[in-house]
Amino acid sequence: MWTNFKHSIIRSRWQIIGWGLVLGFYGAYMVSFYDNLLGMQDQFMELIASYPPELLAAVGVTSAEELFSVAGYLNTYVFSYMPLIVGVLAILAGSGLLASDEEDGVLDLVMGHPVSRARLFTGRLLAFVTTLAAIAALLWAGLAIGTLTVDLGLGAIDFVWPSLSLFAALLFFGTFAVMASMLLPSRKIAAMAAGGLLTVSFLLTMFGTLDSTLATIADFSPLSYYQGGKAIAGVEWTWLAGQLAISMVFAAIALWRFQKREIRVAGERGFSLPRLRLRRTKAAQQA
Amino acid sequence: MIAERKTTSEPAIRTVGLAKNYGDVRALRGLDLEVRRGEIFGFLGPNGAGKTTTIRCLLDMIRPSGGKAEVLGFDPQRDSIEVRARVGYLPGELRLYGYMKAGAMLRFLNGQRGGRADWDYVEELAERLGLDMNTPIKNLSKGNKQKVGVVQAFMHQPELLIMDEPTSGLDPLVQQEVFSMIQEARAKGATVFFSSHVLSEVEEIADRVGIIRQGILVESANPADLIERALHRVTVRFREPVEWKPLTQVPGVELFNAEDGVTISLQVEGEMDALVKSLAEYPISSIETERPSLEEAFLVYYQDS
Repeated sequence: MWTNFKHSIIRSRWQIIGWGLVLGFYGAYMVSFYDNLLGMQDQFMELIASYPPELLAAVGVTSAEELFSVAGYLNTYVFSYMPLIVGVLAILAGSGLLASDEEDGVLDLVMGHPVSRARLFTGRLLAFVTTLAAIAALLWAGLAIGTLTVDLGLGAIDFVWPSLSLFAALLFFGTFAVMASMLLPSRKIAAMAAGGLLTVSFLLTMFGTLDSTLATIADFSPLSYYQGGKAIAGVEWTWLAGQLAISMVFAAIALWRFQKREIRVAGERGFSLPRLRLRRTKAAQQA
Repeated sequence: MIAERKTTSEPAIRTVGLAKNYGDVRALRGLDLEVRRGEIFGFLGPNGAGKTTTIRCLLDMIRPSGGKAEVLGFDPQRDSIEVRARVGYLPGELRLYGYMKAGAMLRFLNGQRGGRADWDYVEELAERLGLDMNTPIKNLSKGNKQKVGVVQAFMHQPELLIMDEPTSGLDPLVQQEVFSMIQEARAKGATVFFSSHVLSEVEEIADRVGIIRQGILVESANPADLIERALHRVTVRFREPVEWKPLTQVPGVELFNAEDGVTISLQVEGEMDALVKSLAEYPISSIETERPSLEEAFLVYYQDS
């Protein structure tokens, strides 16, 4: 298992460094900009009043005053759209955790060696979780470093909670993508499904704050339980635990399917969706 | 280096009624196969006959629809790890991590075996095949990538080698080196089970061959017996034009070619006694017989697939 863990972490190192450093610098910059924002509070209030409510909802702003609290500011400028952006990495990495090597044909060679499917899966999954955690940790580090330039009245520990909230959200969508890759015919389709879920969830959560009818449906959106920057003001532990628990369920389903499935050789396509098979049958009949 | 060997007279590979269906397609239809310990067994068959499906069932990459298989006395599904610990596998569609160097890829695969391979031996194998361990795999030619595949199959000195087209992409000199490695492995007590389309190489090194067609083993014999049973070609040159058509009525004899009334080529299945006695009545200038190759012996099984 550790051979596969090490190998997967090494493969992910540039993602950790690239994403992590960029997010860290961004976090540090946005924290250091907070003072400037406070100095222009009146102008910003006028500006915000002119924005459509949909735009404000998209960046998690429910009230103009909230924007100038530290938690609201960080939520708006850093955390509100992070799941959508970093979610791309989580979904691509998750959907390719095993399916990528299988479709490339390398998994065939690896599985010819005495490594159990469970240990192979667990090693790679641990590396995936570690990658997401490392990226969230680098973001946290950037935020913490940013407080060296401006006094927010917060310590480095306070930024752990929104980073943890982001990690839980990424893990949710990432493990969903892993599960989808084991259930659906190809990695591409799995990534599409997970990406679709993320996008719909984001839109539902956003519009749920504007429309009371949608608010009920938005309760089913995973991102409705993502606190982001608002976790600084207090963590919803049940939401966090719920996301982590559901992620574990996704991972368990993925593992179960991986143990049952047949390993494809390079280029071999996955199973056909029933609808497509019906079309081919019709075409054959017409011929 | 090698997982503990079972001392037993059980075959290295045994399948009984092995079946595998892919939806409506029956890839294996009750394969009965036995590979004895310590032999080199060539597994032949046309494209789509079920060779790769058989190999993948033996290594628990796919699960059979029916029947039974045993590898070195173990059940491939229940004792999958035990089987793979004792087997050196070379896939027909070899794929490697392009971003790795050849040496790093071998270290990674060795790591999957708990680092059991003797690295001096690995380097020795690489040197024999002319493999540069420091070249990134993406920069290697097909043949050099195949060398990585061969080394990883041999490096832990397995009890059983299962190789799907082991010399694919290799130049003739390296092919000979691989044959030597196979024969050395056999001399040390290993069993070699390989599939190939290059019948000359099978004829050269296999102790026995099995021919699979449409998911069933249709023949299993040593190459010499297969060739003996195959069609012989006889070219007869007469001193003068003759009426040769009665010769084609001899049991087991078919006309292959008649250039003129003086020279004919016949295909003979089985013994030549009847033909020779029939020829005694003719004015013959010369007779040439041609020993068929394994390829010609095998083509009969290809033709109807």
